[in-house]
Amino acid sequence: VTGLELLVVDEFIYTRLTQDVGPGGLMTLVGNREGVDPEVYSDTIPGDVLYPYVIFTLQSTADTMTTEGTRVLTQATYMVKGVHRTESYAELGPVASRIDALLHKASGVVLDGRVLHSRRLQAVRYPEVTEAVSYRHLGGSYRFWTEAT
Amino acid sequence: MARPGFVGARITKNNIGGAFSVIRQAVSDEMEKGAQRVLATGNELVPRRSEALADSGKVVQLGPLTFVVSWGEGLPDARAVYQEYGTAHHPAQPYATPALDQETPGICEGIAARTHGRVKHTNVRVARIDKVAKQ
Repeated sequence: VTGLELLVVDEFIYTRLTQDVGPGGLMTLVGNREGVDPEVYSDTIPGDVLYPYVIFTLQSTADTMTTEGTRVLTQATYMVKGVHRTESYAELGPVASRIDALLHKASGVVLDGRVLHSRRLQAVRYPEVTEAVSYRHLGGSYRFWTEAT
Repeated sequence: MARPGFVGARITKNNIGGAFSVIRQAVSDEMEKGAQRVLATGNELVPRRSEALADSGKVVQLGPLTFVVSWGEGLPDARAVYQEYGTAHHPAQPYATPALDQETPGICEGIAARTHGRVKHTNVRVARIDKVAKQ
C-alpha cells in the first residue's frame, strides 16, 4: 500500500518517544498534563500546546527497488526536535539527548510493519523569535529504513 | 649465494597525473551540474508566498570539488530555516532536504559515468624485467 511505510515510521517514532516514561525519560522532560496525551506531535501542534514539546515531520522519502521494480524497502528522513519557549538551548539539551538515544541506531516492529534501522544524519538547531517571543529548536534529522507488512 | 635469475614484468602507468587531472575536471563538472539540479528541484518545492525565497537560492563554488547550494542568504529573516524545519506554531515545508535526497543518486551516477574508463587511456606500460644471473 503506497505510503503505508511512512505510517509505520510515524508509529515507530511516536511509540518510541512516548514510551520513554522512566526516570529521566523523555516523558518526564516534555510538557505533560493529567489525562492528556503527551506533548509529542506529528506535523502540527494544538493551540494549547505545552512547552517544551516534541514534533516530528517527514522531510523526504525514497524507495529502494529491485531491477524488476519490486519495492524492497523505503527510506524516510524525518526531522525530530524539541521546541521550547526559551532563550536557551541548554533547556532543550536533555530533550534532544533523549530523542537521539531513542531514535539513533534503533529498530523495531510496530503494528503495520517494521523499522529495520535508523540513524541521525545531522543535528538541527536554530532560534526563532515570533511576536517578540523567543523559541529554541533542537533535535536532528533521522533516516529510517522501513518496510510495511 | 647463487642467484639463478628470475622472470617478471614491471607494470607502470606513466601518465597518472594526466588521468587525475581529467578525472578531477569531470568530477567537478558533474558536481556543478548536480548542484544546479538540487537548486532547480528545491525551487520547485519551495513554498512561494513570494518569490523571495526561491530567488535567494544559489550555487556557490567554494573550491575545485566543493559546491554549496543555499537558500535564504540576504533575506531579512530566517524564512529559509523556518520553511525547511518549521516554527513553534507552523509545520515545516521542507524543500532543501528532499531536493538533495532526490538528486544525490544522479550526482553519484553522473560522476561514475564520466570517470569510468578514463584511467585505462593513460598509457599503461608493461616492460619485461627478466634478469638472468651472470654465468
